[in-house]
Amino acid sequence: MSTIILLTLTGLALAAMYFLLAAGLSLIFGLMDVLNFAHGAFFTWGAYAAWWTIAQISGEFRASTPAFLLALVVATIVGAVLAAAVEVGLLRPLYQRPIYQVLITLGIGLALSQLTAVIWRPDARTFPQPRWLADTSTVLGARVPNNRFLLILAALAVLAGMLLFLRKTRYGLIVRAGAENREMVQALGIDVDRAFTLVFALGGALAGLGGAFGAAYFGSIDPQFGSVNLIFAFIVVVIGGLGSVTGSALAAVVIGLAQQFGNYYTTWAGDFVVVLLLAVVLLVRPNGLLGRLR
Amino acid sequence: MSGGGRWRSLWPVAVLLALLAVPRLDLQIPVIFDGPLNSPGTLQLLAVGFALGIAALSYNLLFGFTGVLSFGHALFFGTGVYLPTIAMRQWEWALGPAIAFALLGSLVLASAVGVLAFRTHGVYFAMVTLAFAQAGAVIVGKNVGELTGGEEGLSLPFRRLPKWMVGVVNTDNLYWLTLATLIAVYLVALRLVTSPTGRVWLGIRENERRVEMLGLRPFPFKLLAFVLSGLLATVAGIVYLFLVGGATPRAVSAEFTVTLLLMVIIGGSGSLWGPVAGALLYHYLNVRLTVWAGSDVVADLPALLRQPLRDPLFIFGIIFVLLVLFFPRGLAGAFVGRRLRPFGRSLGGAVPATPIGRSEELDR
Amino acid sequence: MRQSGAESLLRLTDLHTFIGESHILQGVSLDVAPGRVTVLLGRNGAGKTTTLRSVLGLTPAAGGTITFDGGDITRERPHRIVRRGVGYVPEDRDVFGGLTVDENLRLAQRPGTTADGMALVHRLFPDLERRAGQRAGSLSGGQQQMVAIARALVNPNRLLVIDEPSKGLAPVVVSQVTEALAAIKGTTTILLVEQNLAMAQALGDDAVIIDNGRTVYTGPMADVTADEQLQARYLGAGHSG
Repeated sequence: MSTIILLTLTGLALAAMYFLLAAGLSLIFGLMDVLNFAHGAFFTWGAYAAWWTIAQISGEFRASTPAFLLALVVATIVGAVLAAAVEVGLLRPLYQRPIYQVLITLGIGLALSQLTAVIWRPDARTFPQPRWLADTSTVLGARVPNNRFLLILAALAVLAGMLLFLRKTRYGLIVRAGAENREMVQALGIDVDRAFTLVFALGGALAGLGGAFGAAYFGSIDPQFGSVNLIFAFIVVVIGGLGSVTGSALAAVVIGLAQQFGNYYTTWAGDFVVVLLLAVVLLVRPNGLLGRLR
Repeated sequence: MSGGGRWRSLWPVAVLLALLAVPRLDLQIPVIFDGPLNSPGTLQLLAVGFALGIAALSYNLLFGFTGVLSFGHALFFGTGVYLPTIAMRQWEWALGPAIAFALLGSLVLASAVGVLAFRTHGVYFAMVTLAFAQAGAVIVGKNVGELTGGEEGLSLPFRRLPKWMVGVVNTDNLYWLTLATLIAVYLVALRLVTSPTGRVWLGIRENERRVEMLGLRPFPFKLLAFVLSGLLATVAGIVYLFLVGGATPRAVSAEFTVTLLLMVIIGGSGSLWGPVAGALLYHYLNVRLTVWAGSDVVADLPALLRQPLRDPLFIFGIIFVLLVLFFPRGLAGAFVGRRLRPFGRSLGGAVPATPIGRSEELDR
Repeated sequence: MRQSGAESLLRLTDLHTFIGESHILQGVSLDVAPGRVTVLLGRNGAGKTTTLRSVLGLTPAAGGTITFDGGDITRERPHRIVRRGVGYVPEDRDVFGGLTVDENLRLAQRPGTTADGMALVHRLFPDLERRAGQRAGSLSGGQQQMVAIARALVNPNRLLVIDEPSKGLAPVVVSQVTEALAAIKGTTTILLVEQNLAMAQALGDDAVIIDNGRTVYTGPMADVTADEQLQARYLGAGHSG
């Protein structure tokens, strides 16, 4: 029983991390039709920014609570700024050429991720976190690290915030309309480019935050940190349906749980089950669980 | 197609045939190569470049000539690297059956992945193929069934290879084998892209819907492109395996597919020879940059310059971005301009303005 | 054949536009006089929709000039053109199906404008007020057309560019749409593409006919209605009164 509780909570925390990465990917694709391979680099940079912040404030090996909280903020900002810079500086010239956009995000992802190896060392580093976060709480006999709970709470807050943003704000309205028909949004006198930058920055912010939390979850970071998780985030996005935030949340939960429970039995079963799930979803619902028919 | 067109597309074969003489040339080319041309080190450098060239060429059949962006190509290269190794080392098969096993395995795998993945389009397809390749990478990396050697990889049991393929002294034999394979694959690819099927591929690249309106179902053509390019990638994997003498997880990684894409972008996706040239250049730079990074010249540079130079992957990332922004047609585009001769003519002059397909069939 | 002397709100001079490699507009010139309804006529494929899209900047013109209220808008981006006071009703309505009727209208309403537009819309299309919370994708074709027109009316626009409002609608719905447009006629300037001659006749003051991407006729709408030879020559057999 306690094993099941532990696996469930850990799986949900993993799901939360995937969701933070996938939500931005899905929004960006929904609005701009860009498959953003640089997203993993934003995630990596979030992790490194958080680590750097903590190292500046409380040293490389231990983290105070204020340092950790500040690290979350810095990671979010770094993700947002990087993403906005990439969108304005590099993607904008390529709007008429979608394949080149995909390619350039690939190159950016490669260079940005490796830049962390250039600035800091390429090898893995331990990610310090406050004692209370690394400690475990006992839930129905299962000893669960506290950072799992924090990650789940953060993802729930982000999900709620995004749904509010999409449903209740004018920019949310623009994003939803733009995902349906970009040109018509322009023809209503709205500067779509600004919405693109905003969505990119938002996605980058979530990826940055996800990177910081992911670092706490795994306890260590390296330059390939983002690209490894990006692949699972892609799977989450496809299973959830491109452009659907709720779909991403749902799919993240399915994937996170499947992976955790699978990996409990053998080291590889979890990852394998995830790809199997993808194949099944594609056969039954090619547009994902909550995807619109295109 | 006129004779002129055929000769124009055969000149790279002439160049490759000329390269067959390299192991007999005792030439020093300072700065470019460390040893003489026929030294094992130089021959190995070139031969691995040829093997990667086959892989890049096979990838471009799909990407450049059919307009399909797959992120799963490493899966088929990896099949060529791993299946023969596993068959020979773990099951003690002979070389011939092991190679046949790899080709058959690739055929089955590519068909299965293709049938599933082509239920989707464009960017979806890219992600789905990425996911399948990732499954392959997991099987290899996590050493499923104790077959693959996990992160360590698996070395080729040399006693199961014929004598002429083993050892540094026989590097020239492997060089010839690889180059001959490249020439053969090039000719096969040329035959394919100039065939009626190849014309349909180009049609799909330009506008899939128009192909449908002509009453053709794009699916079997796309699947054929996918399976054939997968098979040729497996061939590349097999010769690569002979050159490096073992299988490592990198061969099935997503990064390897990205590397192939980089080679194609460097060389240009509009021609058959572009990606081969791109692969050679990429491999050369990759090896040489690592050497230069360790040299005294670099060690004396200020840290701000030294650190990036020590990271070839970072430099390639930057090169990638610059190429896409400023030279999207790659080397081939720079040299040959807008000409895509043999195909443009057979399509009745419908030479595309961009080397890869238009937006409408590449998104959604 | 240009109208000379008359002041114009919108003027297209020798417009050339390409779609991909195809040279669609090969010299379209026309004037839209303020306060009047100008109907753009022509066969299928003559370039009517492309003309409107060039005006909006959605398919930018490669040559020629477009001036709106004296300002050159040829190279302007679509949202800037629209913000100058141009309302656009596209050919296929293009309502946002996943958004509610109200959200469609609120999206169109430019920040800073008064609520007058919304009141006008609700007066013209009482049906839309009742269906404010309904997803636009679930509306009938006629209702969607009303949403599309309403989106252009919520702002105090000086020019409405309307592309075939009758397309694909049942006759009874066409007359509803005609009535709605007739109600705003005179209060605003309209450039209208319409294949339905009855509707064009009911609304149009001036007519411009284009053929193969060139302006071939400019004159009063009434003359087009009267001239069956002209109709047969440029508008084809599909047109009926």
